[in-house]
Amino acid sequence: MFQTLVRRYQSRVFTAAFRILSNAEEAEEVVQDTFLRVHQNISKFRKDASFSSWVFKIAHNQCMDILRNRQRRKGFRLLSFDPQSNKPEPTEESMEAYSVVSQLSDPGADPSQSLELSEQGSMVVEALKQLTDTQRTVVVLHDIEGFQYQEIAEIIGTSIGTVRSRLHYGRIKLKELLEPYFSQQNMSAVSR
Amino acid sequence: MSNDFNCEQLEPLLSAFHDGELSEVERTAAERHLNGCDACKNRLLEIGAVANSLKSLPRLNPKIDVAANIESLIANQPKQANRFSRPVFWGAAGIAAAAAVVVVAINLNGPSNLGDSPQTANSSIPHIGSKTQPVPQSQKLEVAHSIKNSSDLEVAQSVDNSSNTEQGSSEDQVGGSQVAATHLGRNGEPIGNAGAKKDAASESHNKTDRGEKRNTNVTQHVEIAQNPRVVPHIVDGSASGAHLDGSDPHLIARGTGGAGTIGADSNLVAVYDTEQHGVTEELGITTDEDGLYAIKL
Repeated sequence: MFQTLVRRYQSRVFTAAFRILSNAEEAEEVVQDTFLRVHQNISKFRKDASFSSWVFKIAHNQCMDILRNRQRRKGFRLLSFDPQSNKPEPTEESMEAYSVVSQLSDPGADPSQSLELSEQGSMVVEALKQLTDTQRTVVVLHDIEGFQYQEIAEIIGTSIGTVRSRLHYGRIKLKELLEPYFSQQNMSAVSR
Repeated sequence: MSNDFNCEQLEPLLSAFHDGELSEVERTAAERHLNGCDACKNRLLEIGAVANSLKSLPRLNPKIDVAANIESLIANQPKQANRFSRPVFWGAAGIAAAAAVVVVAINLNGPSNLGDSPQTANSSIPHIGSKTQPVPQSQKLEVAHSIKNSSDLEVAQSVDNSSNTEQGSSEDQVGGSQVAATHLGRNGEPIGNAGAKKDAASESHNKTDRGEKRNTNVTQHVEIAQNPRVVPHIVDGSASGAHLDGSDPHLIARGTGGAGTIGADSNLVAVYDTEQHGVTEELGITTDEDGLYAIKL
């Protein structure tokens, strides 16, 4: 029964999409579109492949489409900058800051889900948003969804070496971003 | 010990070591290094802490239960054929636009770019006759549409020039305007050719004065007047009897496949022709199963 199959995977797909996109509405859209495509193309599924990898490959493609559309819109905003105005031209730093602020105030982010997070969880989620899209995708697929390197390489269509590299440098960046929190935790642990 | 890693070599492999994704040889070498290097050992612990913090994030559920609604979603989704129609349409429109630009470029080159003779590459493509006129001071495009019988269609655009001097093709000058005529039979069949007789009804709209005769079976007739110095617009051939006043004349006539359009029953979706120094270059855009093509008629 297809419904059973959807029920089994929808939470995983939604979680991954939400962590990659940081937007609940878009993540729900990804879940719907993913399972519609799974239904359309179920006959093309190779029985020797991992079904979950195949489902996540479709979901990953949906996420990438959304991220690409965001990039286009972002490019449009930059192009629409008026050089005649007296306002200073946006710098790379200010755009990055804008990106972070827009993510924090993302209307699609589900506040109830944020409230459920512990302090550490909130820190991790905010740090995760600051990775590049490609790093974040690999980190989510490995550390949250538990896929192996080979499976991730198949899902995102790249080599294992690239997966290894993206995952490592993504984690290193997360470590740097979370360093203040971790050192605080260590201090607390030592003081006890 | 020559196979052992130093800190710099091991660093990018620490995540893979943590995840058990190194080869046996790499893992053994990494373990040997880690046994004697506290700095790398600490770095490995930090990577492990990051990975664990990510694993501790809760699993989320969508607000909408997709599983509960999946059957209705499947039932309501558009058919696959429709999903592909849109990209084809835009691809076709892009090709048509590109073809129009190419044709304009050919025409703007003026009288020096001449062909040897009118060409008819495919007998299934309608034939176009054309002539040139001086630049009209005030142009008025007119689309006249008359249906001679239930299936026949005639669409004409003509230049309403105050001077309205019809001249021979040898008088084609820089900035001269052009008139093109396309003749289509029912189902888009070409009727007649450059030397064929012209149908009496077509005569009333055709500005050609080169004495070309058209086939009397002509059932569709398109006349396009344009100033080659003006960027063209695509004209929907379905504008029946409409008057298009303005300084921007239209270059391309395009069929949309519906009743009253150019080539409604045919492959032809857009036509253009040019005449330079008495030589007619005829271009059209036609459909096929695979999409649209710009073709030389």
